[in-house]
Parts: sequence; structure tokens; C-alpha cells
Amino acid sequence: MFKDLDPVLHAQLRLAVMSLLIGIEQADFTFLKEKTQSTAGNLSVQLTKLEEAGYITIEKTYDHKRPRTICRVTPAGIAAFEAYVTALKTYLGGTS
Amino acid sequence: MFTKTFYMTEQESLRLITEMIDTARNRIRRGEGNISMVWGYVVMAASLLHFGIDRMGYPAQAPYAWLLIFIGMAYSVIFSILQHRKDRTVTHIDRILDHLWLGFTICMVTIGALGSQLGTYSFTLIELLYGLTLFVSGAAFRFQPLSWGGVWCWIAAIGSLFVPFPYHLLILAASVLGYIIPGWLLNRKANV
Repeated sequence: MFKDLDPVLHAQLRLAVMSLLIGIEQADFTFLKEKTQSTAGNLSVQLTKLEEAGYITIEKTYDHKRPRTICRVTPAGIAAFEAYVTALKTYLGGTS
Repeated sequence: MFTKTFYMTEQESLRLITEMIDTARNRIRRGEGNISMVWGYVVMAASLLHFGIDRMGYPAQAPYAWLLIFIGMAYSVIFSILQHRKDRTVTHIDRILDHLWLGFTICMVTIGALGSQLGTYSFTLIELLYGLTLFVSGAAFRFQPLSWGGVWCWIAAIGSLFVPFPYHLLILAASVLGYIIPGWLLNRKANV
């Protein structure tokens, strides 16, 4: 039987963000925006969805009076990502 | 690239994951080589100063040249704090390297404090520890010149045991090339 793909992760920008954060412990908003080549508005919305799912934490700080948003992947996010990749392999391998 | 949210096929998902992970991999922070270069210049300056003062006839005062180590120590701490503030990303390897350099700094201070008991061996110890730090950093960055710099330091450290004091200070100073050049090359390679 095929496993369901996590709908939170099975969206292009959210998956791109999670893939970046899996390889990096933390990244700021500018870095994520640059690497995913997304718009600030869309990225912001998708980050909030990932945060609501408990997959990332978002910390808002200041660097020399300039606002800065730092994103970190959570253990739940890592587990969800691993489960997603496993499910993906099942689909691609065509086995249950 | 992503101006709106849409869903993908499984193949597209896998391709995206691979692409993003590759993007984040092998990333070197700007100025990463500075810390090794600063320690290199500090050790070179202290060695030459120690040698110079000793040759001028003040052997008792010469070891004070190593107070320059505090410059390296201050730079290490300030660099770590500032880098942490402005880093756009922090990886597990970044944290390991920060700890490695902090550990090296603590060892340097301890060797400095024990200098009178260790005698001239303290310089060899400094060189050995420096070699270790470079060797591990080179592996972390997958940057061989840094690892070879570490090996060069170990060779210099062993070689210094066969050269009478204070001339082995000159070997210590000469070994600087083993860490300044890789540090400079690393800065050139830095892409973030």
C-alpha cells in the first residue's frame, strides 16, 4: 500500500525550504529567499505554515537595528522530512 | 522560481530535494580563513620577537613576547561572536569548528600559563596543537591545503626538537607559511 505524502511538505516552496534547512542548522529569511528565488510574501506565508505544523521555529531578532528572521528545523520537522523521503521512495520504487 | 505554491510529481520532489541540499552543501563562510591567518601572524610575531629579544641579551624578558597570544585570543572570541551575529546560516560543522578554535584558544592560554614548567617544549606544543586545528578544519571544509598546512606544522614541531633553543623559534616562525597560505586560499574559496 502506498503511503500518503505529507501535504505540508508536498508543496514546492515548503519542500525547498525544508530541504535547505535539513542540510543547515539554521538560516535567515534572506538566505532562504535567495536560494529558493521566491517572493518575500510567498516565502513568509509558507514559513508560517511550516511553523504551524511544528516543522520549523521562527525567531525574529535585530541585527544593528535591522530586523532579522531566523529559521531552524525542529526534531518534528526532521522526522516529517525523513518520513516524506521514505514515502517518496515507496512511490518511485513502486513498492509498498 | 517559486512565485506561487503548486504541487509536484514524486520525481520533481526528489529533484528539488537533491538540488536544495546541494545548494546548502560545501558552503564556506566569508572570512573563514582569517582566524587561522591571525593566529599564524601572532605566532610568527611572537617567535621572532622572542628570538630578537633573546639575541639582544635579555633572555629573561624574551618570553614576554608571547603575551601577543592575547591578540589571537581576543580575535578568536570577537570573530566568533560577530560571525554568529551576522551569519546567514549556521551548520553543524560551523558549530564544531567554533568549538575547535575555542578549545585551541583555551589550550594556548593554558600552555602560556604553564610556560615556565614546560620550558622550551611549550613552543613545540603550540605548533602541534595548531597543526591539529588546521588538520581538522581542512577535513571539515574538504579543503586539502588547510590539512596540508596542519601536516607542515607537525613536521616543523618535530623538527624544532632537533634544533637548539632559541633557533627553533625561527623554525616556528618559518612554519607560518603552512597556515597563512591555506588561510588566504580558503578566503578566496569562501562563497557565502
